[in-house]
Amino acid sequence: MKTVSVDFAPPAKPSPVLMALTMAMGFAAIVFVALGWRASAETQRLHEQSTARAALVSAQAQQAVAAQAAAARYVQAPYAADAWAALNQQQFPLNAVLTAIESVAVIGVRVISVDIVPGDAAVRLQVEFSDYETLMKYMQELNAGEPEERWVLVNAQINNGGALGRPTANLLSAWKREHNRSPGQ
Amino acid sequence: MWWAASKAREAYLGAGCVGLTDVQGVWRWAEVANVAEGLDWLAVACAEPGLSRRPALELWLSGALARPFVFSPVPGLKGWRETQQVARRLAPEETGLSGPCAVWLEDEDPRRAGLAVAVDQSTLDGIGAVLSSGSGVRVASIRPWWTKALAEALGAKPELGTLVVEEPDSWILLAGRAREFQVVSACTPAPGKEDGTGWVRRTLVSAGVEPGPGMHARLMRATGASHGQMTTGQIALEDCL
Repeated sequence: MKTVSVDFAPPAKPSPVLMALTMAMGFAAIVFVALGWRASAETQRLHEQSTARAALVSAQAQQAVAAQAAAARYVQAPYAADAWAALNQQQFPLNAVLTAIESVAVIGVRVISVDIVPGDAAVRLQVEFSDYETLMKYMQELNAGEPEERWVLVNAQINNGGALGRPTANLLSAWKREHNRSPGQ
Repeated sequence: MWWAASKAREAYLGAGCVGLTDVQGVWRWAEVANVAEGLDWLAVACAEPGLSRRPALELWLSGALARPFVFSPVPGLKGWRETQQVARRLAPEETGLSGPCAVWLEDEDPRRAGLAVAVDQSTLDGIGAVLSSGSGVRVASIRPWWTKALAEALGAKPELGTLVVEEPDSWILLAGRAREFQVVSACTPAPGKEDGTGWVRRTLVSAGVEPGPGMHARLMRATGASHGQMTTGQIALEDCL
């Protein structure tokens, strides 16, 4: 034979207080789980954003490095100098130079020659002048409206043996090109 | 001592007597005419004004109220629900109880014979109505007293083969081998010693069971007995057969 565990007592009903406490704790657990899941989702989203941003920065840095490397690896062709000179000449503001020279006329100053050097972006102007005061006035007229003094006096010769024996002066101006700089300049 | 009062107390409910322990665990007994009177006595005895917590009560039922029988295999039963229904139908015939019964089954498998215990449903309803709902007593357990006697007897003699449990209103006979029950029977009202002994022998012989090492367990009742070798509510075990 063996012992037997007989019991006819009905299962105990939980007290209302205990039931309410259990339900409240269960509800609180659900709320906390939901908040935790939401925080986890937000963290995941921020992490993904951060990762994407880092990847973008890394990609941009790699592009910059690649561009620098490409520039460093650039080897000039034999005809590069001539090609750049031709291109610079094409981009030289010839019309602006001629307009600037032709728009200025001062009695006592006569333009003898205009020497345009596109490769240096420079223009040399040789003039005959009657006196220094007239020459200075001519230079002021040439530089009028320029943000910086474009025309400068290189030299002036009194006894240079010109056609009429008048003094001559050499003026130099620099004209910037906005495009087409060769690599290395 | 409020904490002592909140400790679980034991009660005994029989067809003609009822008992209850006090907060110190000392039994107090009373003679009653029937189960309903016994429940009323318990309800009054359990009422203790001033307690903030419902006292717990471990209720022992006598053999006349909780009767064992062997539930034999019934072919064709499917599942524990059908087994329960058939056991409840057979319980009055097997035990002699009248009316619908609540049945406890040792084994829910209908293909195996096992121990079953039946209690009149009206008795359980009365316990719920008078004690739980009426007096606010928290009935922690409702168990047959003879199961307590069986546990103590097996503790004293593990190879026990036959046990006779003598209570004021019944004799319960349990016989078996290994861990199985071969004969379980209740005799109520309680017979005298000679008649009871004859009933035990006839039951075992008719069942074809050879009586093994046996014990006789008796519920001790003596109002006001002091602590000592034998106190009220304890089980007197003696070898027999």
